[in-house]
Amino acid sequence: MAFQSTFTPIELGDLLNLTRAKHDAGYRFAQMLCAMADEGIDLVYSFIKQDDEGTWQLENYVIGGYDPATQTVPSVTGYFLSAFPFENEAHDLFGVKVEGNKIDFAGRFYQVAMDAPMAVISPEQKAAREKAARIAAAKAAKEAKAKAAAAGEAGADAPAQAAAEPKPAAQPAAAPIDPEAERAAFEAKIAGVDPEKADRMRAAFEVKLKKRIEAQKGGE
Amino acid sequence: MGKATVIPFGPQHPVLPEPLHLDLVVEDERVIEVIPQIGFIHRGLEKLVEKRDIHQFIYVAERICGICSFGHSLGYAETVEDLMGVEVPKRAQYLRVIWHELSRIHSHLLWMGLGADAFGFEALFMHCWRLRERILDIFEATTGGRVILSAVNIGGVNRDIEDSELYAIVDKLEGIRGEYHEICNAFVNDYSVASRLVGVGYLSQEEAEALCMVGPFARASNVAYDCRMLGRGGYGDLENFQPILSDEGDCYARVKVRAAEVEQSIDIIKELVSKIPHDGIGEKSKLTPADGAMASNVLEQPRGECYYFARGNGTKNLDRMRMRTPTSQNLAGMVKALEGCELADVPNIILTIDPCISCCER
Repeated sequence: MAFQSTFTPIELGDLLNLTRAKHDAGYRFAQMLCAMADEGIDLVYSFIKQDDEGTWQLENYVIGGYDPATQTVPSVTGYFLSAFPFENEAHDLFGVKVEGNKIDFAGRFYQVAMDAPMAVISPEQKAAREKAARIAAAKAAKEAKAKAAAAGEAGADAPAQAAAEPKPAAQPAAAPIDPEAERAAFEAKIAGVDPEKADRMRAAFEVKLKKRIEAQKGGE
Repeated sequence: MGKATVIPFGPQHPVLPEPLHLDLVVEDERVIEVIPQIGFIHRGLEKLVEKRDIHQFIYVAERICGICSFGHSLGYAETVEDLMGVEVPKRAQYLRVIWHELSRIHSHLLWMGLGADAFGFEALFMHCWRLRERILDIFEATTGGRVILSAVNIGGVNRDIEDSELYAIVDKLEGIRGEYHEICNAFVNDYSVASRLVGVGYLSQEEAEALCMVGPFARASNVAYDCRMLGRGGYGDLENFQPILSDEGDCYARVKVRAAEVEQSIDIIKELVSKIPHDGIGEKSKLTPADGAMASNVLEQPRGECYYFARGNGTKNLDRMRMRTPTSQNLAGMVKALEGCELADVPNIILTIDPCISCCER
């Protein structure tokens, strides 16, 4: 026997129809979970069944970006009663508003000290997400730079074009320092560095940048 | 027909090793409705993935529960390995299964002891736990720990077991098997045990399937589902794995299914030891989960199917880790099994479900 796990995005409005279809097709409800996303909460519903070829299919359906302030999730306990602990959990730990739960504890399922504790984006999680974004930006910048360099080399291979281009001056005049551009380039360079170390590097960079700007002003 | 009365049961109760609260609505001595409640000791361990990296979190995962600690570290490791596409050597997979099946034996023996204690068979409780100690001795000899084993890493296992030691374990288990038969004889053939359990807490196969029950609780109602038959890891090399089933659906059937599963686990260990390969035990992976990558996995814990979900964010920490434990899935079945029972049968019904609130309250 084999096992396969899949993830499929769906809309919140399709949840009940999907659950009904899975119930009628003989699937077992495996679980429901919440995960904090950049915008809102992702809800994952899982169903499992053995298909005709003997493979066990664990099908996960992802509802992306649920907004607890404006949206309500219909309960699936009408089809699968075993979902009641997960829907109560989603309410108590993430603040998900579930409508129609057959065994609804109205926020008293978990005895927790604060509302929706799992929905809090901790500093660690925030730092991890920022770091991932910086790594992605740095990777994109590196790729763009490599692409530009490759295009430049291709241009240099054309002799006629090279002959037509004027030779650059041996000692070009120093360009004025653009602090914002320098900072952006520096941020791209330190993407992926440990946040504490990055803070120290950033402070050192600011000192050096200030000195360079002052030196340039003095030279003028 | 008497007046309906609500009797609070737990969270502190002699029969409950862990805090579970039930509001039992009774008429005379008969339970007509049950409302369960957990959440007294919620620890928020899943949130710790934000502070502990993927390798450190193994040690958190195995602290979810003191009984199925190895299973949780294994389920977590397999899910993260799926997330990153890590290949695990066969020998490491076999060793994982051997430790996991030993965990199942010790969990079932622990449960059988608690069950015996609940229906007033103190000597049987002592004998079950005496045998369980011998399994814990095997853990201690092979990993250094008796409860928290720390034997798994992402990519393999932390330590090997010599072939000679594996054969010694099989001999030890064969020795345990003889004594275990005597204990099983008391469970399965004793009149007093049968009088407390036969026909109590009955659930039909249709009800068990409709309530999505898992584990021995479901298999005692003839639901032919056991994650080990999915053939993941070392289980894929077993010659012929068939889940242990019973169609009786009562508390007695649950005892019999678990009793047979102990012997099945010994057979699995014996088979894997006889054909364990020598391709290394793997090493800790140096990969990082990709941003937005997701993986899900199921593993047969002693109490039933446990679902694991992991999502990466491009760093050494996971964005989200989720463990849906078998007891959470069996709460609806427990409510159904309790409806209509005699008040005196409530402890036995709860115990034969083998609830693990520690796992639920991860």
